[in-house]
Amino acid sequence: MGVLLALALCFVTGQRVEMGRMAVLTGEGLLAAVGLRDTSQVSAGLAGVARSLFPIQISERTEVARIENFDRARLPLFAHIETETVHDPRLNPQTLQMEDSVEQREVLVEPIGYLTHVLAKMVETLEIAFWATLLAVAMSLPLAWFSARNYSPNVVAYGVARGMVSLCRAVPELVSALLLVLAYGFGPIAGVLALALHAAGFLGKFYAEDIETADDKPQEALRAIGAGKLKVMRFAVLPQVMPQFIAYTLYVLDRNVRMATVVGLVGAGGIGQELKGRYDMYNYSHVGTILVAIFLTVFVLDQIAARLRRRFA
Amino acid sequence: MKHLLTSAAAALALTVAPLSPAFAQSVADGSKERPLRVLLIPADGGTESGTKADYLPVFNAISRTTGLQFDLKVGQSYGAVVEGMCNQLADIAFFGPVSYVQAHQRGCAQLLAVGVEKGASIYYAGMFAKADAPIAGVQDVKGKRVAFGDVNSASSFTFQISMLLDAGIDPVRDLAAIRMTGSHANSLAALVQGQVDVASLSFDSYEKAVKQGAVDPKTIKVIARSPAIPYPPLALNSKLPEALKTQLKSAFSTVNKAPGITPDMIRGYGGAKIDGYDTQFSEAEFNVAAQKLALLTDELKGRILKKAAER
Repeated sequence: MGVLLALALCFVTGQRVEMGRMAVLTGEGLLAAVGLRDTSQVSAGLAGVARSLFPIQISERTEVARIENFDRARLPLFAHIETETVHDPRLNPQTLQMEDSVEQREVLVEPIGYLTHVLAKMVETLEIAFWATLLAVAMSLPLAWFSARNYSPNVVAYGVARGMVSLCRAVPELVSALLLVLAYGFGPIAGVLALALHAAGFLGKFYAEDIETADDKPQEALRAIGAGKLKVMRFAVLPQVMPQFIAYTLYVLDRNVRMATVVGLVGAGGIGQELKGRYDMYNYSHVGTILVAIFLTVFVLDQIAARLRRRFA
Repeated sequence: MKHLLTSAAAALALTVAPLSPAFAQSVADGSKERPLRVLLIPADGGTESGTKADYLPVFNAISRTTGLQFDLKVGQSYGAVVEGMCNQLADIAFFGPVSYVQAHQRGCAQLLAVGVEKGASIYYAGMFAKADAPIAGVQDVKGKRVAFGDVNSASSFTFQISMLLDAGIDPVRDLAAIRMTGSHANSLAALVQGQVDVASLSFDSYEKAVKQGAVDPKTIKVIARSPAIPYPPLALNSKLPEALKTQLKSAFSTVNKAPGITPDMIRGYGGAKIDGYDTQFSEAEFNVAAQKLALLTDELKGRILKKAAER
């Protein structure tokens, strides 16, 4: 009976989010990919995206005339000057036709300039994620204490703590970042706080649930010899739950890194702003560089987390 | 550790403290300690570093001539820049014409300078379709799927909606579908990928797309052009002291002749090369934007957003 109900629910909700259409479009895309079909909306779209992202942008090209106090004798390391021809298409407002004008200009080419810029932004993104995680752990410890039924002093404190944990988790990072940039201004502060608040809600809940389900026998033993709540927590609960705590915290760090790449979309620091800006400027090869950088960062971080987990958990 | 505890406590306080203007910094005066806070918005989209690079030479030149210090920040949404100006988070801001009118009507902003290019300070918004589509003008947009950019954007939303209204087309009732794509680039992408029949974006954004090879101009046509829109202006926070306002205006009017400035360094809207800045531009010129904005009631915007959420 339960299975039937679940199936019916899947059927109804699946139709509402157009899962059928997704399956058809994906199927068409797959058929087109293996040559059984001429074109498909999905394969054409995805192929277009992939073509425009590669090759990725590595160098930085800056118009010489726009650089303040430019000194020809002292170029940055590895940089050189090139003369290039640029097309400047204009849409004539009277005729509504495109007109092309061609001009020559000098550009300063820094061979790995853009890559360095993306890496610097990626470091800022990691810093945001790191501090957000640190603040989240700090905020969630008291929240977890009061949200654990067996440690919370009374029902009111328990209710308030659980409410705050849920509230923090309920507000998506992007939305709180949107509001926080109004209070703290554009930049990483809003990003750090937005990620920290959400993660505190997550950690508070999971820490608390582990504390609640920790084996009671060692705790009873300590209580029997007169240990206070803090001592019991320190010597009987923490040693039991530490491996999970570390696992949750590492997961939150991982999630924060991924989310820190996104909060920039609303101006809260990190690489997201660069990503959205390049997309809006149609610089798709720059977008490619950023996506590759994000992927590599998440991958490397995952490897480091796996090592940490093996050592401590 | 103590530091960490303090910041943790501050962060905890934040979970209960409502967002309040009390966070706002004290009044800036352009000194080294309290530089004038400049909030820039990448018009038609742009990166943080790119937008800064567009304006930094201009503000550096102003610093050299007046001794005033500036702190340039790049925002992401027009709405947030309006709020930033009204909440005293910024002293100078670069606005879209429609968001400027919004801030001006709330008493938060007044004109500082408007870029001048070839003697004029105007740009255009357009509606674009596929070259082979049976759409010749605004009246043919009826019954079509249309993409718009940001709801606070002059040239990817406000002016296109008003063109539809002028042609007697109700954007909610008479369109097959509305897609709010969030940006000029997304609008155009939706058209290129065949997700919509008509895309709303500025001429400048379209020119950028052609320049970057993101779209082949032979496959796209312009089906409608807006009236001339005044350039996105630089605006002053109304609360700044009058003497400072006058000093800034006179510095901007001659910035193109400031020492250390080449013509290529004077940039305006969308990073385009401009001749200089006009500080005598009258507020009345923005009436065209204000009138279009008045057509767009919150009620109409609400209905448009609701339709955009439909499938």
